[in-house]
Amino acid sequence: MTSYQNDQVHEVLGKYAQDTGYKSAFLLAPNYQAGKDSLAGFKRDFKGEIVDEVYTPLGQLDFSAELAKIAADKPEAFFTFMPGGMGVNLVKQYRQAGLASIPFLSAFTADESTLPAEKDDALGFLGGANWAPDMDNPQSKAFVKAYEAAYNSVPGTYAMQAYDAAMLIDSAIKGTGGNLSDKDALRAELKKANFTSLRGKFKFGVNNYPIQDFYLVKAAKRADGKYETEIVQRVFEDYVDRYAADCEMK
Amino acid sequence: MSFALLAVQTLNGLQLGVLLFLIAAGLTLTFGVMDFVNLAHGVQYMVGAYLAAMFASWTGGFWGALALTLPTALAFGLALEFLIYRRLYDRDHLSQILATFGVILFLNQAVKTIWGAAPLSVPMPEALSGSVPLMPGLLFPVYRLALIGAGLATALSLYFLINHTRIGMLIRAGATNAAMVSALGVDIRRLFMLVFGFGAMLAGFAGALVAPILSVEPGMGDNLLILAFVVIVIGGIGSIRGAFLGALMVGLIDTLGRAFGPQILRLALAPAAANQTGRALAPMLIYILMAAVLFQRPSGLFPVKR
Repeated sequence: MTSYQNDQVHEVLGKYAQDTGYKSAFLLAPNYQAGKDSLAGFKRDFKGEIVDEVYTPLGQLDFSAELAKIAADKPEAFFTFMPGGMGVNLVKQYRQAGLASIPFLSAFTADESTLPAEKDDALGFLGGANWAPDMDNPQSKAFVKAYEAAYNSVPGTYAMQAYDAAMLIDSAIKGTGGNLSDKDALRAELKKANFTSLRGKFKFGVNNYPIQDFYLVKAAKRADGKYETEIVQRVFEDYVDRYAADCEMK
Repeated sequence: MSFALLAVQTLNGLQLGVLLFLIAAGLTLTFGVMDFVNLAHGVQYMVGAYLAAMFASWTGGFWGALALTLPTALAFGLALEFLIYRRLYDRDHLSQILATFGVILFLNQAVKTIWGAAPLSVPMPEALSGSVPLMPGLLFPVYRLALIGAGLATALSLYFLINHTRIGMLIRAGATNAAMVSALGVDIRRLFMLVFGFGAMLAGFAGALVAPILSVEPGMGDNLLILAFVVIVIGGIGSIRGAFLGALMVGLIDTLGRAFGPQILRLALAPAAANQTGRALAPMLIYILMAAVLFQRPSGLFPVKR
């Protein structure tokens, strides 16, 4: 596994909201398992008042009813998880409804996959991630440059994780000298994680999930006019997910 | 529940309603007049939105995009009719469903191939990009008001077209008894083609209209198609008036149910249970409405006279 537990990224925003001292938050997510994971993740560290917790049908395109409710409830912060087109719609409509004075905290809602459509409407919106394209290390810079040259778009965390996964598999195959019939040896090599992650340091915890840093990121426009998320601050350092102790891999 | 919030949510419901109407109008005509089940009507709406996105990047603005989208959507609809649907009129509904479902799959993939899977956006026209404060802290985009206006204007012109012109008379006659109209010397095939192209253009018009406020993405029409079918079943298949009232009912009930359902349930239930039930119940309301309408009036609120 080179990614994260499904609720970890959302914990970043909950922790940030708690540390910033927001006293109330309005939560919005699609009504499916990942939506529930997301709100559970946010609430883990956020101890303020949850003004309302709204689940919308998956694939809902128009959020005007929910936005009116947010305006009526006047929370100090707004947290959401709306991947893909739902996020594009929500971000645009949130801005159009004049709600942007309420901090917009999210994950996978204003990221490299949706920013090209959200454009300026998402600027300044906060997110959580284990990496961002402006990560300051040589391997990541080289990766972003090569990716943009090849695909003419800014890579997101999905691309980063897929690249890391490929590098991990490559390192394991090299480690076994190409002998893939010895499954135990291959597993041991994989476990070593002997590759240079774009995230910088990378190692596996007892449940074979990464122990990694998580960052607060912000949607921004680059000098060349493209949009990306940029790291604002580190929220969790060497973060072991909270299920690790319960499901050790033998 | 403040009055302002109720007013805003009613406007939201109206806006969904007129959008549904633009899609349902074409659907109810093709279904009612041609007895043709066109599942691909939703992707024609999507194609309209994609065309608007493409033309917007060419012309740099919304109005130019809209002006180019309408004839292109019409031409696209006519091309589909000529290439595929024409061969299906005499087949049974199952063949039509299978074939038009195939068109959905094909076109959803086609837009991914041409424009990519990532959502696109269309700039809002400058003149309509303002917003009006309807309640403290909430701005209602002028564009959405314009959308409601455009939908109502379309409804009015359709009403006139269907009820007070010769072509409208033929369409109504075709809905009642196509074979008889044909026997009286009207080229029914050409009428069908016209109705179909017009329906496709209305769907494309709806797609272009929503492009500035919704993201343009593959599959964007699929959800609306289901709602549009609910609308025409409630309204009575083939009836523009039914589609209009059905669309407004569905839009309002869906929006107000989502907005106020949990609060209303809270009067009778504990807050947690009310939230849970409200969440589950709100998306069901329109289907409950449809079942109730069908129970009372099996051919919809405004059935076409046979």
